[in-house]
Formats: sequence, structure tokens, C-alpha cells
Amino acid sequence: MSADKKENIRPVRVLQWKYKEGFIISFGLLLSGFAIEYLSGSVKIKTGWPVNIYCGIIFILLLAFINYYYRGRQIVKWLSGKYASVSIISTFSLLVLLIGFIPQNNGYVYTTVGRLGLTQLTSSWPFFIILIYFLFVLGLVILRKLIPLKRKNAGFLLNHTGLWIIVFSTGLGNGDLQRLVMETKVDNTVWHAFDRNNRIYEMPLAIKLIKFNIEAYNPRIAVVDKLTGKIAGTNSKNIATIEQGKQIRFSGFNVKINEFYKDSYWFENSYIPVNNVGAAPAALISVVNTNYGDTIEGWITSGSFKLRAQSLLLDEKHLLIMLPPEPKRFSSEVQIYTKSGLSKKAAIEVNKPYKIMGWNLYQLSYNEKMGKWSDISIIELVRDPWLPVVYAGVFLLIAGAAFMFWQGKRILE
Amino acid sequence: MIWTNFPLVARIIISLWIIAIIAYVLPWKRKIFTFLGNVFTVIGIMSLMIFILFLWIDLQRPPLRTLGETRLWYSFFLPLIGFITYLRWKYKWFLSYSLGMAILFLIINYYHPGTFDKTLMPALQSPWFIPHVIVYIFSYALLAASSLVAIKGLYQHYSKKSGTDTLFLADNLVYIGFAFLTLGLLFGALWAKAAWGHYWTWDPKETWAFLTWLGYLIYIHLRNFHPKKIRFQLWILALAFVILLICWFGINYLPSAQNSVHTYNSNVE
Repeated sequence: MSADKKENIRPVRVLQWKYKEGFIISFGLLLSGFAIEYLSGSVKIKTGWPVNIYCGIIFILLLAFINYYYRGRQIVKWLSGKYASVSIISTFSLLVLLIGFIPQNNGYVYTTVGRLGLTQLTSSWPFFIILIYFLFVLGLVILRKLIPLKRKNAGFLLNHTGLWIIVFSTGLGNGDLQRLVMETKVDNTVWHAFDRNNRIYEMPLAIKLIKFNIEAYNPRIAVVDKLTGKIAGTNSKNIATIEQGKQIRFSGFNVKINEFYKDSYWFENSYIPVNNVGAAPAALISVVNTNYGDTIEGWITSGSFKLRAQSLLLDEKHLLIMLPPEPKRFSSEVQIYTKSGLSKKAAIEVNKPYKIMGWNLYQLSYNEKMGKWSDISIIELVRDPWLPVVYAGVFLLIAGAAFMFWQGKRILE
Repeated sequence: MIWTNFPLVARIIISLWIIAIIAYVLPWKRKIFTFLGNVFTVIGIMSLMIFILFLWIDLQRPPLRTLGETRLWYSFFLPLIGFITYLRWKYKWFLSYSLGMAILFLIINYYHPGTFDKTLMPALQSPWFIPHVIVYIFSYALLAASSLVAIKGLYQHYSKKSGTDTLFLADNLVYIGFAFLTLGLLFGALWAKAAWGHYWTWDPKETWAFLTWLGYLIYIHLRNFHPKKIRFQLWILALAFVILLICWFGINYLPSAQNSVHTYNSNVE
């Protein structure tokens, strides 16, 4: 810090710095961040292993050094005190507020707003600089409470150290984080994946898609207004899930599901259960109009990419339609090969990533047009070697939160 | 078919909890009333737990799939956490409040069995879903209460009455609420890792949840450093709740939130 120079004569007077100076420093850093961003573009250095670990160790050593040798200095006291803390938290909050209001994307925008990094703040210079200053201040705060270690500071230390470790390791680990996308196709073995900028990577493992599958809930049927296409009536009673043999009372219509097939196709003059590509759910339905007492019977289907949707005209105003079934489970059955000759069968599902060789495989997408008949499945491959460190911070913070709950606010003397 | 037993079970539990609330709010300060309240609360919680266990065995899957089933969990966890909070902090009103919320969820399940077959999209089918939502519900309830207290404090301040006691109550609410808010945020991050591949992606909802967290963080620090500056802190507390509301409801209207994974405006047709 530039202010260190003032400290080489042993000060007799007390440093009078308060919030004004705190905000001058943090806003100064913020503005210089924006200036660097405007002049030189966003942070392009993405330091991976082992440079990031060296930087991290140097940073920690620097903090320890300052705490050990200059702990008593006014400026270090100030930096690990309330004024610096509150001003940096506030400045950081302001930056996050900008992220909250300005739509963020990854593309570079050739406008003043874009050149200032406002549309990609999390990889901008101001964000980077403010985070380093934040870690610096928080690090000094922690060291001041850590040494000497006192029992009553346990909650404080859990919370502050947890947060520091999370921010620190997320920042350093960013250079080692890999998020790649692999497009797998039935019966093809794919060895390469792409990053966000469409750069291609040769992978240490390959994936062959055996089958992609969507398990769906039974579709719902609804009485809709013929003209607007919206569900008739104001309440949600005119919509219900289909089940074989079920009787449903909609307002004005009593509906009975005579037949229901999850996968079917139109053949001659009715739907028959099949398991072919493009099959769609269909139901044979009889409807009693409770106002007139007459009965209508007919087939309805939500359709598929091969089959047109079919609805049932109930009266001059109302239609009975089947909504497309909602997915219950996306899954890819795959064969995984590694360069070392390993071959493994695996299932990748939303919320259930598959872990292999430090990579997590996620079900990301599929050919939405073809739905459950999609012959491609898009798998995201994520490698984050710093995750255990981040999680260590997370668990410290969880412990800190539990501590905070139990201790509450100590009544001030 | 364990669901067919639900109306009976629900009626018993609702009665137990209503008696408990009455016992807690009775104006006569007798230990026996509190004791009775505690007994009825605990029996209610245990009954619901047993019902959920039977349902679990009967369905041969964890009952986490439908909205009706998740409401059962709310009704179970709300009084449980309320009771633990009560044991620690002796806030009877808060226990009554959580019992009331739990009763409300049971009544919704009682009258709308049709909602049992609501679907749950795959990304929401996670063991983190329940803890994430429950701690947030709790945290928001506490923080909402704290800003009510702040408004009372501001009124007292501007009408020149002492607001120091009011702030102590607000502090405790904020501390407990903030602890839950932190847990909600972290559970969300752990869940995101399993569902979306990364624990933090600056999704607009994440950003605003983080801002909410920062807002209360600033309050806690200011409160700690300058216990005498009451008016300013009351305003901060009121403002932090505005951020919370943006995070909760307002997010759907923000230009930055067009691609959020958290805006559940699934329009039918």
C-alpha cells in the first residue's frame, strides 16, 4: 500500500483515518480498476497450476509477514479494523449491485459500457482488484483475531476464515476450472470437447452414447378457450393429470379417460401403442357436457415431432387439449473409455453427475425437437481440482452459521 | 394407500398444534401451560414424522416428488426448527408463528389433494431441495420480523422514545436469520454443484441472494462497531429487507434476470 511511506518515522500522533479514508482507498482502487479495464481490456491472465498456487502462497506469506512484523503499526491496525472492513464490504456490495442490475454475458461489447467491463464484471479488472484488497483486509482481520487464539473468538474465526478460504480458493481455482461440452451421438465414440469459446480439446476419456432417454410424467389435459388458447375459467380446476380409467370433473364437463397410451401412433382409425421413433402419448376420452347431457368421444394427443397434436372440440367455445408431457428424468446411458484402456458403462442423469478421473460428467442437453427420441446427448465435463479447498471453506462457514445461531448477538455491555 | 389416512392424521396434528398455540399465548404466565404446549408440539411433530416414514415405506421412494409431499416436509420442519429456536431463545411467539405456518401447509394439503400429482422438474429432484428451501423460508420469516421491529424502532426514534430494547430484539432476529440465510446460500451452492456443474455461476438469483446476504452483513458489522448510531442502523435494516424482497419477488422483472434458472414462470400455453 502506498500509505506505508508515511509510517517510516515512528508516529507519536494517532492515525486519524476513518470512513472517509476507507472509502477513498476502496473507491480509488475501484476507479483505477475501471480505468485499466477501459484502456487494456478485461483480465486475460488465467493463471493455472502451478502459478496460481505460488501466487497464493506468496499472498499468504505476505499477510503473515505484515502481521508478524508490522502488527503494531497504525496503518496495519487501521487495515484490520472497522473502517477498512466496512468500507471494503460496502464497495464490494456496490460492485455486486452493478452485477445485479446490468445483464451479464460473456461476449465483449464495443460500447463504453462494454469497454468498462460492466457487462462481464466478474472477469473485469475492478472486480479483480477489489477482491484482492478484500482478501487483504479480511486476511489481516483474521490474523489479528487468530493470534493469540482465544476460545471466545471461535465463532468469529469460523465465519471469517470460512469466507476467506471460499473467496481465495474460488479466485485461484478459476484458472484450473475446466467446463467443457461434449456432443455425444448414438454409437459414436467421441474423444473431444469444446469450451465456451468453441476451442477444441482432446480429452483423456471418450464417451459413446448408448441411449438417451426422457422419462416423462403422465401428460395433463385441460379445457381451454377456443379463441385465446388459455385455460378456461379463472381457477386451476380445468387441468388434470391423465390416468387410465380416471374420471375428472371439469367445470361444465365430466371427462373419462377410456384408454391411455404413453407411446402410441395413429394407425388406420385409432391410436395403437407402439414404441417407434416419434411416438406420442394419446388418450381416448369421453366427455359428458353437464349442461346439455350429451356425450362426445374422441382421441387426443399432444403430438410429437412426427405426429400432429389433436384436440377435442367440446362446444362452440371450448376445446379439450393434451399438454406435452413434462419430463421426470433425463438420462444418458453411456460407455466411457479412457486412454489407459478402461471401459465402463455409466448412467448420467440431471442432479446425478458421474465422477471419473477427476472429471464430473453432467447431463446438459439433447435434441429438443426430437425429445425422448433424440439420438444425441450433450454432456458437460467439469474438472475443478480446487473444489475440496472451497468445500473446506464452505463447511467452516456452515459451522460458523451454526455457532452464530446458538450464540446469537451477545448483549452489549 | 397411506394417503387415504392423511385427513385423519392431519386433523389430529392440527388439533394438537392449535392447543399448543393457545397454551403458549394464554395471558396467564403459568409453567403448566408452557409445559402442555411443549408436549403437544412435540407429539404433533412426532406424529407427522411417523406418518412421513410410513409414506416413505409405502411409496418405496423418498416422498419428495410432488408439491403435496414437500408441503408435508415443511409442516414437519417448521415446528421442529421453531421448537429448537424456542428452546434456545425462548421466543414463544416465533414458535407459535411456525406452528401456524405448519398448520397452514397441512390445511392446504387437506383441501387440495389434486395438487399431489403436480410434477417436479428433474433439476429440482435433489436431496438439497428441502433443506435449501426450508432454511430460506425460516430466514426470510426471521428477517421479515426484524424489519417490522426496525420500523417500530424508527417510529420510536422519531417520536423521541427510547429504541434500545427494540434494537436488541432486532439484533437477535437478524443474527439467527442471517445464520439461516448463510446456510441457505451454501446449501444452494452445494446443490448447484450437483445439478449445474458449478457451485457459483452469478445467476441473477444467486447475485441477489448474495446482495441480501451482504446487506445484512453490513448491518451486523455497523451494529457491532457503532452500537450508539441507532437511526442509521434502523434504516440499513429496513433497506436490507428491500433487497431481500427484490431477490424474492422482484427478480422476475429485472432485465438482468432473463436467463435465470430460478424464475419459475412456467406458462401453461
